[in-house]
Amino acid sequence: MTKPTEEKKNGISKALAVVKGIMAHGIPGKPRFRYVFGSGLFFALILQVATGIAMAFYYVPSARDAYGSVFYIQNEVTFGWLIRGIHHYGASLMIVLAVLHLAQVFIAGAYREPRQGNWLTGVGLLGLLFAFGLTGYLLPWDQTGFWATRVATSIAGGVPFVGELSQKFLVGGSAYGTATLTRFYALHVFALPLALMALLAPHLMLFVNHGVTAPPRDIKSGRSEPFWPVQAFYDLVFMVVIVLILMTLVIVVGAPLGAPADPVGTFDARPEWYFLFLFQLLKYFEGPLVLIGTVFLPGGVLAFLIVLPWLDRSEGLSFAARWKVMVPMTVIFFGVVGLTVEARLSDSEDLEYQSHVLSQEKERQFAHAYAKNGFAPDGKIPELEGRRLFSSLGCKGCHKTEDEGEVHGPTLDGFASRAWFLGQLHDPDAPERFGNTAFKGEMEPADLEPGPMGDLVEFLASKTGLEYEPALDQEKIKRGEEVFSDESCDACHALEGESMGAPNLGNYASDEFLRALFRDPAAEELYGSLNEMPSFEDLSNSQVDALIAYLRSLRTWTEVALPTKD
Amino acid sequence: MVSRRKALSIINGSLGCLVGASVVVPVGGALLDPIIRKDEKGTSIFVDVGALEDFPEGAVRAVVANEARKDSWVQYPPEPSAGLFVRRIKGEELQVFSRVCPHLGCSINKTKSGGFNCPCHGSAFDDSGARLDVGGKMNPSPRDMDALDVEVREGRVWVRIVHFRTGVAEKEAIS
Repeated sequence: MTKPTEEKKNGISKALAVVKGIMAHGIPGKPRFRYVFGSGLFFALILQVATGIAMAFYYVPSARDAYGSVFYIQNEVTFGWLIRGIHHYGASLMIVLAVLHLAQVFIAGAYREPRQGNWLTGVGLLGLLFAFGLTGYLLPWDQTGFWATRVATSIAGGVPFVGELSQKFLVGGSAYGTATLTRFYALHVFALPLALMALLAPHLMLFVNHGVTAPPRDIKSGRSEPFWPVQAFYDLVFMVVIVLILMTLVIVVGAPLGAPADPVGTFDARPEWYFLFLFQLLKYFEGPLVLIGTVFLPGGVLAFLIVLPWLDRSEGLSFAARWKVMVPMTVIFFGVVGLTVEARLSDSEDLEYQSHVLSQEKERQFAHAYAKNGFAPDGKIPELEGRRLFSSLGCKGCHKTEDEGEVHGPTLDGFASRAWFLGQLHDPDAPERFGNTAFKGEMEPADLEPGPMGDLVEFLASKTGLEYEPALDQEKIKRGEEVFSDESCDACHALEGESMGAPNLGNYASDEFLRALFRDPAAEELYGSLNEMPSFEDLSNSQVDALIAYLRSLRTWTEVALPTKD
Repeated sequence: MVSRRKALSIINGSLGCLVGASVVVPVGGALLDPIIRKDEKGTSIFVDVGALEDFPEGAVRAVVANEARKDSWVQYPPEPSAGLFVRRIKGEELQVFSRVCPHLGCSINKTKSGGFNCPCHGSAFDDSGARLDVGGKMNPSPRDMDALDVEVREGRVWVRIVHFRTGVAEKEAIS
C-alpha cells in the first residue's frame, strides 16, 4: 500500500518559502519611501563586497607592489577603473546612507523597546563602517592614504593607557611599511567583514522579528500591505538611484589615485571626508587638552548613542516628550556637519596648504605619466624615483628643472635634446648654462650658419645613444663630424682617450657618461679641476638609473626640430 | 488589462535585472579580464645573441637569449630566459629554433647524429628541425620545431624571440 504523498520539505522549497514569506511580509499602514534606506545600505554593501572581491584578484598587499597593482587595476584590467570607482564612491555612499538610515530610525523612535538590540547592533555597524573606511584608505599605498593613516594612527597612539599599544598593533611595529599594509588588508578583507556579518545577522533577524516601525497613524489604521510589490518597488527604485549616482561619480570624476607613497619627506594629507569632522575638532585643543578632542567628545557621543534607547522611553513622536534626546542629537548632527564644512573652508583659505596641493598634484601627474611605462622590479617608477632623489639629494640647489631650483649650474630642462645642444653651442656663458660657474669664458660660442650648426648638433646628439624624434640623420652626422674638426672643437674636446682640457664628448650625455659623472665629476675626462659639482659615489645602481631616467624625462621639455635648410 | 500588481511585478523584475547587471557586468568583466584582453602578440623585438663568427659553419650551438619580461605591471630588465639552437648552415645563412618542445614544453636536446630530441616523451626532429618519422616508436610532437626569425646585422646574429602554444599542430604565437 502506498503512503499518502508527503509535502516536499527539501531545501529548495524551504528557500522558496522564505522568499515568499518576505514578499508577503506585512507593512503596517502602507509602504513608504522612507523605509528604503536599510535595504539601500544592504545593496551598497553587496556592491562593496563584489567589487572588493574582484579587486582581490589583482591587488597585492605589500609596500613594494600595492601601488603598482592598484595602478594596473585602474588602467589595464577590463572594467578595473569601474570596479575601483564603485568601491571608492560606494564607501562614501555607505556612510551617507548609514546616516540617512540612522536619522530615519531615530526620528521614528525605532530604537525604543523592544528594538534596543536592533539599535545597538546598528551603532556597532556604523562604527565598523568607519573602520572599513580607515583600513581601506591605506591599501593603494599612495601618498594620501599613507600620510592620512600616519596621522590617524598617531592620534590613536595619543590615547592614554592603551594608545601606545594600539598604535603598535595597528602599525605592525614601529615603522610604517609592509607590516602595516598586511594587517590593514587582513582587517579590511577578513576580520572586519566577519565582524560585520556577526552584527548584521542579528540586526536583520531582529528587524524581521519586530517589523518596521511605522508612524502611529499607520498602526492605528489597522491596515497592512505586503512588501511585494509596492515597497519592493520603492526599494528597487532607490537601488537604481544608487547605481546612477555611483556611475555618474565614477565616469565624470573617477576614483582618485595619488603619487606612490614616499615615507621620506612630508605630505599635506587629509583623511577621507567622513573623518574631516574629527580632523577639524583636533585643531581646537592643544597639549593635554587634545584628549578632549580625541577621547572625551567622541566617547561622549558614542556613550549617548549607546544609552539612547534607555534615555527616551516615551511613546509617540512629539518633541515635548522627546526633547531630551532630540536636542543632543540635533546638536551632534549639526556639529559634525559644521566641523566638516569648516574643515573644507579653512583648507580653501589656507594658502600654504593650497600651494602644497598644487605641487603634490604635479608630482601625481608626473607619476601617472611615467607609470604607464611599467614599474621596476623594486616596485618603483624610475622617473619618479629620480625626480624625488633629485630634490632630496640637493641637486636643485644648483640645477633648475621644471622651472624650480637655483641657477648655479646648468639648467637641465631639455637636457640632451637637440635644442639643448643648440643652446649650449650658441651661448655657453648664458646663466642657464655655465655662466654662473667657474667655466665662464672657457668656451667660445659656435656662431655658425644654420646648416653647419644643425649638422654639429646632429653629430653631438648621436653620441648620447638616445633615440630622437625625428630620427637622427646619418648624412648630417657625417657632415657634423667634419664641422667638429673644422671649427677646432677637437682642440679642447677629445672624443676619446686623454682629455684635452675640456670634457670628452665621445659619449657625451649618454648613460655611461652620466654614470661616470655622478661617481666623479672632477675626473680629467669630465669636468676636471674647474669642477664644482660634488660627487655621489654612495648612490646605488638603481638610484643612479632612477636619476638618469628622470634626466631623460626632462628631454621633452624643449625638444624642438631644427631647420633643415642649409 | 494588466492589474497594477502584475504591472509593478514586471517593473520590479526589470529594475531587479538592471540592478543585478550593474553588479554582475563590471565584476564579471574584471574577473574575466585574462580572457577578454588579448596580449600583444608577435610584437617582440630582435635581440642580439652573439657574433656570427662564434657560430661555426655546419654546426648547431645552444644559446640563451635575454628577454625583457613584463609581469603584469612590473617591467623586468633583460634577463636570460629563452633557450635557442642556432644552426649556421653557411655564410650568413642561419636557422634558429626555440628549444621549447611543441609537445608539452620540455627543453629539447641535440643528438650526436645532428638531429634533436626531447628527453620527456621522445619527440624527435631532424637537423633542420622537421618532425621525424621514427617507425615503430612514438613521436608525440604535433609539429616541427619552432623556427624563429633571424637576421645578421653588422656581423652579429639577431633573433626575434616569440613563444608558441604547445600541444597543437598549428604554430600559434602566444607572446
